[in-house]
Amino acid sequence: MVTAGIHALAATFPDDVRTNDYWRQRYPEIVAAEQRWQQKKVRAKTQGHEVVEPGKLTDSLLFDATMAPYFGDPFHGAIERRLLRPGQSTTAMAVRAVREVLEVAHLPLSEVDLLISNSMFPDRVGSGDAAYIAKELEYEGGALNVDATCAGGLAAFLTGCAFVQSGQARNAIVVSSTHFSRAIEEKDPSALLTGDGASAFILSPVAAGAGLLGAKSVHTGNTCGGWFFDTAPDETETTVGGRKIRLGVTRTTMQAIRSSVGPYLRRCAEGALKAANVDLAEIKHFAFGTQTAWLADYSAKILGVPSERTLNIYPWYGNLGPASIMIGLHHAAALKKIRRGDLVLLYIFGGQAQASAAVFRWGDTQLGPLPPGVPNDLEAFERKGLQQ
Amino acid sequence: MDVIRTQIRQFILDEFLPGETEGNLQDHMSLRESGILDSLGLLQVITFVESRFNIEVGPLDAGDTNFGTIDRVVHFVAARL
Repeated sequence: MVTAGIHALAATFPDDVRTNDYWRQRYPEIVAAEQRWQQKKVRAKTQGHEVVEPGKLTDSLLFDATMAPYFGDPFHGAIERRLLRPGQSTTAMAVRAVREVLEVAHLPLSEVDLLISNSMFPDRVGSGDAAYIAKELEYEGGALNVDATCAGGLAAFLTGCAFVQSGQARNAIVVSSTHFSRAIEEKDPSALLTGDGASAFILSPVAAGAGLLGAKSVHTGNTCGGWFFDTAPDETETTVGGRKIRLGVTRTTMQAIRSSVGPYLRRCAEGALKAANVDLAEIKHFAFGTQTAWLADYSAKILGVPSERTLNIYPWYGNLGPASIMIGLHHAAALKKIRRGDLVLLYIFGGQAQASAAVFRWGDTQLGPLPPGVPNDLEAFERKGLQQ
Repeated sequence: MDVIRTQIRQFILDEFLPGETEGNLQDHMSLRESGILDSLGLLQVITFVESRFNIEVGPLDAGDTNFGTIDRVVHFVAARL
């Protein structure tokens, strides 16, 4: 029986790095908010916290406990992020990512039968980037778009695996792109927390027992209404028709995340492990979506696994939305947290879409490089999160 | 309900209005429009009611319907006890 494995995996980022100083210099109210947060941290150290009684620690209260170090920080633990400039499109970033992964894989495009694009957000309202990417690459196979908000990258991965496993595609290329800087206004508090980037990977057949072993997805319908989307004039001049998709949060957004991520993680992880016929204890690395600085730690605590078996990329890139899951996986492998034969559990929550978990056995995956400025030493990489 | 109201009022006064005269915090006042609670403040109130009253606030329960005023918060909590 054939399963699907990751032949090659690349993480591609814009060149521009924006640090927190950018906002400190332009928005004095952010400086004031940071000062209030620092003062609160000092007070909390001396006054202590109300302790939740054992047995009453719900998933939501555990979320609060892992969020606590960042509560009040206007950057929520982000130190820097990489952003596309005006004039730079999501499609162009995706094309770059695909070219990089093809080069790493030494695979001719003629051997690829399917290209899947997941994009948050595409360069036009109403249709995705897949065919535009395909045209730019002069590729001749099939092309389709997958969307599941922040879970879109993993959804695209699972879709690609299905095509390869069924024999409908010899090889599939999946590219997951996040372009939040265009979708979120600079003065929106969410702009401080988000970044841009793309991951591209090639899925190919592997022998049974390797690659994707099992998965479980559940819809997140009870979070519908937690975010809003509309369109706005596009000042970056990178969209068709001059309108861009705009993303906003509501007063219920954080509560939607806080009360949902844990329960969905339990259901999806249990289902994926069962489908893969694998025990939790056999998982070597947990690739969790890192849409916040504390999600990797929180997710580890929910499952009762050591945080050392996760990787938090948030301090380097902010919230990377759907691209975060495979970029996190890429970085974990590049930093030697994952080796051939290791079992990996991937999980990410997508608001107003689905949450998914997958169990995967890591093989001989060709990796693209880490971006400039990011150390290839694990300790140096993880030290970023201590800079706040 | 008086006990619930007293505890919620005291939490809001202590956390968000230190030094304010108690009588100036009115139970029908919009907590958002008055500037008393921003998004993070709302999260603090939710955490407080969950841990103090041992209830759970659902994903989309956090809007103005249930947390818009002290009166609404009190009724929300009371309905779940």
